[in-house]
Amino acid sequence: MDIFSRTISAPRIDLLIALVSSLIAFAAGVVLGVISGYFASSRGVARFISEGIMRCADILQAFPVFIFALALVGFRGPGTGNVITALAFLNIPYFLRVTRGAVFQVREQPFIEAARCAGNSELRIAFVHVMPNSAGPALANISPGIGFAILLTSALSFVGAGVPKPTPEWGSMISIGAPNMITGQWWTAFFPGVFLGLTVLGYALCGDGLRDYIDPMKRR
Amino acid sequence: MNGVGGALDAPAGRGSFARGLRDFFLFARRRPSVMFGLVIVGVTLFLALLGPHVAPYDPERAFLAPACSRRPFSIGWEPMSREWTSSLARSPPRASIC
Repeated sequence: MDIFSRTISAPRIDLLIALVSSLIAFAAGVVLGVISGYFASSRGVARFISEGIMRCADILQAFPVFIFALALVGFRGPGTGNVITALAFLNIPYFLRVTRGAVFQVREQPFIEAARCAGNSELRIAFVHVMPNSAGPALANISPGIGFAILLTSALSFVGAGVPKPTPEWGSMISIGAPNMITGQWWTAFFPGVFLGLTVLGYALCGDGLRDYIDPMKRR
Repeated sequence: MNGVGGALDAPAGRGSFARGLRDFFLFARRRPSVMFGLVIVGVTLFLALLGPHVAPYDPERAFLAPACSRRPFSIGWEPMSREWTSSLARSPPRASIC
């Protein structure tokens, strides 16, 4: 198999997994973050739901990410859909916590008081007024989240739990090529590794830029 | 604007997505690292969309005799399809540790 053809074909599967899983995690994390942040200081069932969401996030984050991803994929079997599901599930707590922190600031703003005085229900205030104004930090975290998802996908494929093998994917290419480095055929693992490293770096740099762009103090 | 001095306005404007994107690109032009990241993201998106069409060979096809091919591979080939005679001739002698 031609290494060059496989290396430039690999972003299709890697990016598909990373983009879809990050978008699912972003959507679910922002909604759950708004619920858990906005209703954190209320009473009754709303408070119980808010605390329940946070404790579930604590449980998810108590496990090492790679081991947990490996267990999830191992439970459902290797395949693109299962990797997407596992990565989306694992990334939800990051978006949730970021959004929750932003909600704490936004819910004290005067326009929230005004919306309450105008007779809006609490749910409407949370999802119509608070959510659009507190999703910015989570949005800035999508880009590094995509880089992290690409890295995790490659790690899963490297150990044989990710994308099945004839499919071009950087992690599985490194896995196939690594034993050959000792016999001098370094290119089989080197070029997929370089592409993988550069891609993750690119998404991390974009994430830094987005974070600075959203922050009005650093934007100038 | 509503309220006194705009105090009741929601801080996040509902401006167009295109304007935000243009502002971000203008912001990125002042930061080389962000621009570098954007270029890499652009290249990966291009490869994700058109990579299999740009690739000179089928990425999932194993070539049994690439050394006989008229068009040599760009970088190399992997063990499933490498030319075994040359690879054996070039590999150093090894001693088994088992």
